[in-house]
Amino acid sequence: MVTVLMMIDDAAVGGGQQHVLWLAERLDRQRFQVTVACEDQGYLVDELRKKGITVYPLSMSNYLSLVSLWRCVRLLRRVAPSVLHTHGGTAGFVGRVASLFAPVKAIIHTYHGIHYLHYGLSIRKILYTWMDRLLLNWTDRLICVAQNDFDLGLRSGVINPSKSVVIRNGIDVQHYNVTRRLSDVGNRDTGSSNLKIVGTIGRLHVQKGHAYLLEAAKLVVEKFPTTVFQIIGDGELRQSLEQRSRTLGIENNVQFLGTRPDVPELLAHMDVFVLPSLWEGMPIVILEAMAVRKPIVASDVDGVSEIVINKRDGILVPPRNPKELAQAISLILTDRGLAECLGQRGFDKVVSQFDIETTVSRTQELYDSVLEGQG
Amino acid sequence: MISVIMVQHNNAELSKEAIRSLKDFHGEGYEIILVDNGSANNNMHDLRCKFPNVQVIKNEENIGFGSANNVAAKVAKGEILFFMNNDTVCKSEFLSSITREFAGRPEVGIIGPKLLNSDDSLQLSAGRLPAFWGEIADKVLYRLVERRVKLIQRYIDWKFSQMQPVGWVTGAALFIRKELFMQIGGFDEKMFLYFEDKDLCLRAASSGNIVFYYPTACLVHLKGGSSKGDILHFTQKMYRKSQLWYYQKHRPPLEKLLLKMYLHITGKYPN
Repeated sequence: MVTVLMMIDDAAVGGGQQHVLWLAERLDRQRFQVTVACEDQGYLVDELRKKGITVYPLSMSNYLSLVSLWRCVRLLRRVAPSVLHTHGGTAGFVGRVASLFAPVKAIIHTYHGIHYLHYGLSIRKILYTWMDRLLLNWTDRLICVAQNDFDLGLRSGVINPSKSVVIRNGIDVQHYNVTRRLSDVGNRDTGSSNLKIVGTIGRLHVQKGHAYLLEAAKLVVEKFPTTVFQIIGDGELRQSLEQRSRTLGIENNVQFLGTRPDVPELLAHMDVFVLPSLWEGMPIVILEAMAVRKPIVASDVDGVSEIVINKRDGILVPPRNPKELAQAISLILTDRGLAECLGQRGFDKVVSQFDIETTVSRTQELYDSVLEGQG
Repeated sequence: MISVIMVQHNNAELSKEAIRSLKDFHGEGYEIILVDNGSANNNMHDLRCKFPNVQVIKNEENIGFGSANNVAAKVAKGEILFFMNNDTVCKSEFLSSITREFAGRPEVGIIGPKLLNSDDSLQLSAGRLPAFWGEIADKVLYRLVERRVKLIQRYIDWKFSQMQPVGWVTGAALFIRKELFMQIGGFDEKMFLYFEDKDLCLRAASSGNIVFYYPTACLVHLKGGSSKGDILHFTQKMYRKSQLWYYQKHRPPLEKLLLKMYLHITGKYPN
């Protein structure tokens, strides 16, 4: 039996967390015994416990402190996993440093988007790059969730091509089959209200580009006053975004719904899904929207353009461009045939190319090959 | 089915008028629950004779508008609740189109119809959620509408003839899914009168529902008909109390402070 310890800092709803959850529950239980270390409470912890997977509470919020490092070392010594698989920057740092002082056979790290490479030139960027280069020395394998991350990382020297692979994110399409759960909804066209819902899901962080969506919303609402923009997710920008929507005079048309557990249902109600991000790794949320057959309008940034082909399974617009964003949204709102067509093509694509089973089996192969090399 | 819920306090005649107008346009096929909120000497016998199907709940004392509605909502059988003030009168048939609207759009949790004054002029029965500066701006707007400034009036008439998502709709005539109403805990009983509708709409919206203004449905609202004369002072006090509680619940501390200062300076602070 191979023991695997997955490590991620945050347990709130998010792409990385969803990925960890799916991996943990799907890795072959005959061969792998999976445990997870993360914050002591949140969405991920609840879901893992429901599935009967052991969760070790490990706070990494202050990741530079010696205390959290020491806690991590103690945990690694106690669990002594064959494979330590860290996800995301914080856990990647704490876990890999701690692994120097503990009996871990193989260390694997997944980049869920290399965020710092997208910052402008700053001390932080230089420091993080330098740190990742150092950590690379005793990491056995690196996983990138998108080809773009791989290329970008290679250029910045934080990825060693001989040690690194691209395993694209996948999702469990079945999980999003909400048509049955919504069977009592009835026919949407019975009303005359012409109400349209445009939604986005993501942390309220500069990266996700909500500010540009609000500007675009203003333009869309001028044309279609019965449109509601649902912004799902929470974060440090919430107050300023709410304030901004009031200043723009569109507060009646914008809803801030915070973090929500019922993402598939919310997606099912939307007419258009929008992702105005400034940069992305491989956004699971786009795959989720595709799985419920929603037409997608998204920024033409690295991680997104790897999934969506412009005008084939969605519409891509340049980031930071409210005008084009509004045009694309309006186009989908007016052209129902186009909306259905984009939705269907997206669905076909996610089923054929982004199945979670592929992600899981490739991850298993990776574990096997690393352990083989170790003897 | 729709459950019509009406609250009365001392004005049984108005209730009769409202129920009659409902029957005139809609016939049967819905239930009516009338809550008598501790009226002084109301003879319910007459009403019971005329409208035997109306379910009457008698409260010994006036427990407030929101609380009375909550009591009725608990016993209501319909999947849609229609809170209708007893000083409103139907102008046309609308229950069937409202039912269709709810059936077609599962995201819509609350619908507010258009309200007119008795002289057919428009009543501002929906808008954005209260915030300190927003309320000041709205107050100026209301004044201009009351003074019948032509341009403003034309704009308002146009604005209120459009279906649109809004922050709140008035509790004088408000449709809500019963499931949602129960899920968010009904009206806040700490608000005796006023602001309970805004608070309800805000809570519905933050749980992911859309509040919709639907002018196709139209009623006449004899504003103040159900709270007039000597009790005006009382209702004003209740208004301020509810407003303060609303700010306490939903607005940032700075706005709360500004509101308190404003009320103290203008002598409107409720004691």
